[in-house]
Order: sequence, then structure tokens, then C-alpha cells
Amino acid sequence: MGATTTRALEQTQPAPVKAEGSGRAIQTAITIFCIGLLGIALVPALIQMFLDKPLYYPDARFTLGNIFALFSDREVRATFGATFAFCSIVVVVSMVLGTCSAILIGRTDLPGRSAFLAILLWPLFLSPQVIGFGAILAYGPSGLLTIWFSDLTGISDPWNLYSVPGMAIIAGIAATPITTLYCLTAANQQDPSQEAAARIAGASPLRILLRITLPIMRPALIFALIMNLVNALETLAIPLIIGGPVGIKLLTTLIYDKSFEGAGLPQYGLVSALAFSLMALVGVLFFLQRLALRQSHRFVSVGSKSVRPRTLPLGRWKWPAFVLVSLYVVFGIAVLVGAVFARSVTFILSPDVPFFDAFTLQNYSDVLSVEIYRRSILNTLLLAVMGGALGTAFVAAVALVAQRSNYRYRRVLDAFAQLPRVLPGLVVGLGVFYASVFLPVIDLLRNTIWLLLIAYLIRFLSSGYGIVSPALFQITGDFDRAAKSVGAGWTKTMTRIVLPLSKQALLSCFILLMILIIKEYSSAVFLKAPGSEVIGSTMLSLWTQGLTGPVAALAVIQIILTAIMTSIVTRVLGVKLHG
Amino acid sequence: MANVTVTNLSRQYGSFAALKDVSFEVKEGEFLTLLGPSGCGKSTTLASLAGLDRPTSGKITIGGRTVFDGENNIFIDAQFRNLGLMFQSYALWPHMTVYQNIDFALELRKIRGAEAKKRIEDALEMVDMGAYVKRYPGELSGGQQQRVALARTLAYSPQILLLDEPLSNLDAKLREKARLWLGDLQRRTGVTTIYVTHDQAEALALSDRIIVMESGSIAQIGKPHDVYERPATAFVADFVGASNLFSAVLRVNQSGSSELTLGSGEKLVVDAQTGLPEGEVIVSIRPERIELEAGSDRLNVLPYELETSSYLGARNLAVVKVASQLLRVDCERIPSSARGMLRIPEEAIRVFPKNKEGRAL
Repeated sequence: MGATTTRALEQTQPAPVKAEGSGRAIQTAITIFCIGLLGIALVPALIQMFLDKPLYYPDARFTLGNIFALFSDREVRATFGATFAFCSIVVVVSMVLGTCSAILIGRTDLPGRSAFLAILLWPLFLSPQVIGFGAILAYGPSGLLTIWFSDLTGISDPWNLYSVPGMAIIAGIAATPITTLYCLTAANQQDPSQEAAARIAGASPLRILLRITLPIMRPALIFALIMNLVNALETLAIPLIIGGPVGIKLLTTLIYDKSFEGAGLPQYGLVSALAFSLMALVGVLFFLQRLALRQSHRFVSVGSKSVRPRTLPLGRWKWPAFVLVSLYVVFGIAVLVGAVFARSVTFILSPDVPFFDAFTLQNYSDVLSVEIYRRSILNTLLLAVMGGALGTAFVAAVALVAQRSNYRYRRVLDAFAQLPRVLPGLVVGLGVFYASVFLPVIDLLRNTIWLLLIAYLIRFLSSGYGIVSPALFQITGDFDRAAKSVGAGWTKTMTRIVLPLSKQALLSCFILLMILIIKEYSSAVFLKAPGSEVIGSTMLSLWTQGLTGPVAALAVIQIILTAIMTSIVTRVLGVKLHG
Repeated sequence: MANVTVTNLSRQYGSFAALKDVSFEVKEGEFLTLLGPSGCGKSTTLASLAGLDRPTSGKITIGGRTVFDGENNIFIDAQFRNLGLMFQSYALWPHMTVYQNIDFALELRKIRGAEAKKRIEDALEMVDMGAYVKRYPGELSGGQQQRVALARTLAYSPQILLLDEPLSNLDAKLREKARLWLGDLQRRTGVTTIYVTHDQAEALALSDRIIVMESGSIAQIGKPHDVYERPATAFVADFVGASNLFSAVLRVNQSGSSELTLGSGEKLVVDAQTGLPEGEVIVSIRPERIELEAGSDRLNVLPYELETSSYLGARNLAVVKVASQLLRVDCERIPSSARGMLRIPEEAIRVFPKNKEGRAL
């Protein structure tokens, strides 16, 4: 009897809960680590901007000369016009092609829409480098299509790829899928009854398109416009490989050239000032984007999907539109990629040499046997796996503190996590490079792939954060409060409740980081050294040496690796590319 | 204002028939409601009337003009039908102000200048939204958006007004207010209105006539009172106002009056001729027609056990057991004792044929 009473008592008494920490210490550690990492990329470069000699010179003195040089240096000023022209053409090409294809696919009865969609979005997974190589192989002065066209029409030099418009059109084509994607998402999210309402009011299909559909897409169009402008400003590969040989210099290629100048000392101070002005431009653009989209909540429509989305009938324009889209697919995508594939299995790509006479697997056997090529592939794979895993852990830790704690500086951390969005790849590469010649511990990592890993962690922090942080937002905070109410501390709540619930997002983040790392070249070219080459940097240096065959083979390998990753995301994880 | 005639309208989606040979007429100025559960075909009917969806066969005339004729391959697109349709989601164009939203249709009809301004002001005045001309839809509450959406459809004087569950996005209190207001507005404008809803209370309160639809067919057409008091099928009885439905065996005795036998042997006398053959039937009894605490000297008095009850404020709901059958009863007071006698008035009993699956039709 007595024993029963005691047991009953024990049950009613609260079980002693081990005091759980508030997680302050670990939150502070994560914040310091994140800010410190970004500091590596930014602080030495920032100091360098105000020094007259390289950072590691003991007699380097403070100067504002580098900033003045931005406006007085002839070479720098000469890039302004070309950069402006380049960016304008890129934006126009990408916006027109992207918006048209999004509307044709998302809103009309264009034949073969779903097949077109898959093909049009596919170049998202191509590195702009590969598109640049493809463009030269197909449309360069001795390119396959250029010669075919000349032979056919008798016009010699029908076009000039090696010009600002030439490389801008190619860069615009490379940027089109992202515009298509943004506009398509907006087109699909539109409440179809808004178009139906205009139809009932008596509007014709064309008027509906111009007065209702397009204006409602305005936030997406503004967003895409700024993204395109940023992308055009910071793109390095296409200006470098197409504009480089003929001496066309843009802001990015100038930074690249100046940091690798053979004769004398690289002008580190000026390069740094250039890099920061590029970054400031990007920052201003993102600020403008925010400002322009402030009112976009007006455009959010939470509608029922009761009315079947009716597609706009193209009528007699159906087949002309089909032909136009097909032409774009063939000449804007298939030919570029096809040329790279064809070149990878031939000695030479020319209409004068029959394809099967030139056929060889030599390029692939080179790539797999020559030490430097093989090392590039292995390094890329190693970095993709490590960078993907560590990057995801880092992104998750930062996102948890910034989104799901009451840590005092969580907003600061959130801002820092978004900062790499305004950091062009070459600025990150340059910054980490400066850190490696200056900072004590980091300099031990010089010429190793670990330096690249640091750069990648910084570079892709925002990309990963952009996936994980909205996913965390979707998980109700009641789960955290429930865990807290049963006595769990912050760390336990995060690791046992919130992280398992966001598994899907973390996996997507991991794969996305792997894809980005496999494609990356712009930060890597500043950090590569014998032993730490990656596919992106090796392709660039081989191309300048004229070793086109191995470049094509490496490009094909890169495409295959990203294709595998992408199919994992879309098939296995069920993540949709759009919507 | 116009009348509407729908003849043998059908809509196939592949092998699925969303509408099966639906025919009805709407008189000028009438308020007609299409009522039914989701998937019954009411929205398909509305989309066919609006010209947003092309039916498979049949014929529709609006105001004497044939807008669809499957046989003669006539289909006039929504663009040219001059109707007003108010969407469940309101479908206000988010990039246009309230003024521009209404003006768009006027612009298409070449109504400009002072005339347009006056029409817009009148339409907004009619829905008490005159003060909001410059606002964007995103800056309005749900109730305000609903009013603007209605003003937008009325401003260009459409031939008929189609309303697709216009109140379903409002909360319960606002919905009741909007219902009164909508009915009043329809009477004032006198526009022929076809209203789609799954809410029987809305249908009963607003309509001149109700069409109850079930799986693509019309179950009953009638005035609200008729549909409620004399449902044509067990489905209508159940969907319009909750009924007690159960099966019983129908017998016709020598004197010609009908008698029901419940599963446990209790007998109920039915008032009128049912016109049904003897055998298994479905019985429907409205909860408010059952009288608790009845004297045993009358017809159809049966013993019951009180199972459970709930207090609902103005009235009470009791669940009682008669033999093995549970019945819901609307009553003024919850009976004080657990057992008693109840009466089911003969005229309150409705009998429907039973289909093959043994389920109510």
C-alpha cells in the first residue's frame, strides 16, 4: 500500500529536467565565424585599396590615389563605354528572348510547349564558359556555322563574334534561361481568373496580354532586369575568352588582366579599387531592385484555381511562333552545345574535314591520363563534395541563428549572410587571394584546394541561404515553443526538431552547392596554383594556350557532372525547377 | 437585362461527363441559384454561360441571341457576350486602381470622358465604395474587394450577371451582411442574375428559384420554399437543410394509405400517396418537425432514448434513439428525462425510392 502511494507521488512530481543552455555560446561562435569568413574576403582587399604598394610591403603607405585612378586612369576610363554597351545589349537580348519564351510557353497554345520548356531551361546548368567556347567553335571567324554560311551565300565574314555586340549577344543568350525562369514562375502564379475577367469584360487576347498579363508580371520583369544587369556586370568568362584575344576590355576583364600583369608588379591597389567599385555598383543595383519592388505586395493575388487556366490562342501566328522558337533552340542552344560535344570527339572541327575522318577519342584519353587534367577533375569533385557538405552545414548554422533564435545580433548575421549576393566571384577570389598573401594562418593554405574551399564557402553562402532560410520560414515556430515547453534548450531544439524537419531543403542546398562548385571558374582563376587546379580554371588556361580539344572534353565532363546532380535534384528529391 | 435558355447542355472531359443534358430557363430580372456540392457541375454550367468554357453539346441563348449551339457549331467567346461575371477570387487586376479596374471594360466599349467617370462613380456609390477610387486592390480588405468586384461587373450594364461563389471568401459575420446587401442590390438593379453556391442558406435567402444539381444533372428546380419543404429526391432533402435519412419498408394497406416499417418493427403512417411500389425506401424527416414529449394518444408516437444533446443558443439539438435508429431533433428545450415518447407528424415524412446500391439517391 505504502509503495503504491510513493510511486503515484513520484509520477505526479515533475521529473527533474537537466538545465538546458540558451545556446548563447554557440550562437556567438556561429556569428563570429560567419563574419570572420566574410572578413577574410573583404578586409585585406579593403585595406589594399588605400595602400600605394602591395599589402605585404613594410613601407606601404596610405593613399587615396587608387580611388582617384578609377576616374583618371585612361585604361579604366576606356572600359566604361564598352562595359555600358555590353551590359545594355546583354540585358535587352536576355529580357526579350526570356520574356517572349516565357509568355509563349506559359500562356499560349504554342505547339510542343512542354518539350520547349525543358530545352529552354536546360542551359541554366551550363557554365557561361562552355557557352563561350561553343560560340567561338560555331560562330567564330573560323567557326563551323560561319564557314558554312559563307560557303552557302558567298559572303565572307558574315558576322564578327569578336566584337562587343558579338560577345554581348552570346552573354545575353547565356542569361536568357534565368529570365525565362523568373517570368514563367510569375506567369504560372497568376490567378487565371484575372485574364478570364478581362475576357468577360470584352478584351481581345492581344489586349489581355498587353494590358493584364504583362503588367501583372511587372515585379518579375523588374527583378529579372536587375538580375540580368548584375550578371552582365560581373560576368568574366565570355568577355575574357571572346573579347580577350582582340583586346576588348570590360570592367571585369580589366580587373583580371591587371591582377595577372606579367611585367612589373600587379597594381594591387587599383585592382582592389576596381573590384570594390564593381561591388558597389552591384550593391546599388540590388538596392534599386528593393526600392522598385517595395510595392510589389500589391501584385500578390491569392486566388482560387477554379477557372481552368485557358491559354491564349495564337491563331495564324501559331506556326510562325513555333518556327521562331525552334530557330532559337537550334541556333541559341543546340548549336553551341553541339559544337562543344563535336569538338571533344574530333581533331578539328571544320566543314572541310568530314566528321568521321576527324573522329578521335584522344581528347578524352588525354583528359583522363594527363596529370593536370585529371587533377582538375578530381579537385573539382573533391571540392564539390566537401564544399557542398561543409557549405550546407555552415548555411544551416547561420540560418538557424538568424531565423530561429532570439540572439541579439541575429539581424546583423542575416544581413551578412545576404552580403555575398553583391560580391562578384572575382571579388571573392581576389579577396581570398589577398588574404592568403597577408593573413598569418590563411597563408599556410596558399596553393592548396583549401583556399578554394574558403572562397567557395563565402561565394555561395547567399545561394544556399536563399534555399534554406525560406524553408525554415515555412516551419511553424510553434514546434520550437513546444520543444522549449518540454524543457529542450536552443541547441537541442534546433538539432532534434528543426533540422530534421528541414531535411529536404538541406539536401537541395547540398546539391545546389555541388552544381555551383562544379561550374565555378571566376573565383578559382585567382586562386589556382599548380596542384589546386579545378575544371573551370584549367579550361580557361588551356583555351588561352589553344588546346581546344581537351577544353571541349573537360567541358563535356563538366556538363555531364552537372546533369547528374540536376537529375538527382529533380527526379530523386522531386524539386521542381519552376513553380 | 435578358432571359436565358439552356437546352440539353452537356460537357465531357474525356470519358467524364461533367454535365449531362442540363436544360433550364431564366426569366428576365430573375435571381436564379445553382446549388450543389463541389463537382456537381454548377461551375461548369456557369463557365458555359460565360463563354469561358466550350460545352460538348447543347444550346444556350441569352437575350434571344444564340451564344452556343453544338449542332450548328456556334460558339461566341466570352469576349463578345457582354456579360458580367464576378469571380470567387474577385480577380481584381492588382496593377490597376479601383477606378482603372472599372474603367477597363468601359474603355473597351468606347465609353470615355464624363460618361465613363459618371458610370464609375455611380457603380462605386451603389456598393458604398465611392471613397476608394484611387486605392489598389491590395490595399483593400476582403469585403471591400468583393464590393469593387461587383461594381466592376455592374458598371458596363451587362446583359446578365453571373456570380461564382462571391461570398465564400468572407468571414461568417460579413457574409451574412453581404448576403442581405447583395439581394437588395439585385432587386434595385433588376439585372438577371445567376448565382453559383454550395451554401444552402445563401441559396434559400437570395433566390427567386433554385436549381439543385447533383453529379452533372439537375436534381430539382423550384422556389426556395418548395425545394426545402418538398425535396424531389433524398439527395435534395439531405443537401438543402439537414434531414434524418434512414431506410424502411413501405407497405400499402387495404384502405390505401401507406405505412412504413422500421428495421426494429416500429410502424409509421405516411400522410399522402407516395406513388412508390411496396418495398425498401429511404425516409427523410426534418429535425425541426419531430416533436418530443408527445402524448401517446396520437398517430406515429414512438418511444425514444436521449443519447446526447447540445445547447446552441437560440435552439437545441437532441440526438435520440428510436429502436436502433439515431435521429437528430431540433427542440426548444432539452428533455429532462432520458426516456420519453416522440411524435413524427405524418405530413413531415417524405419517402424516396432506394437505388440499387441501397444508398439514398
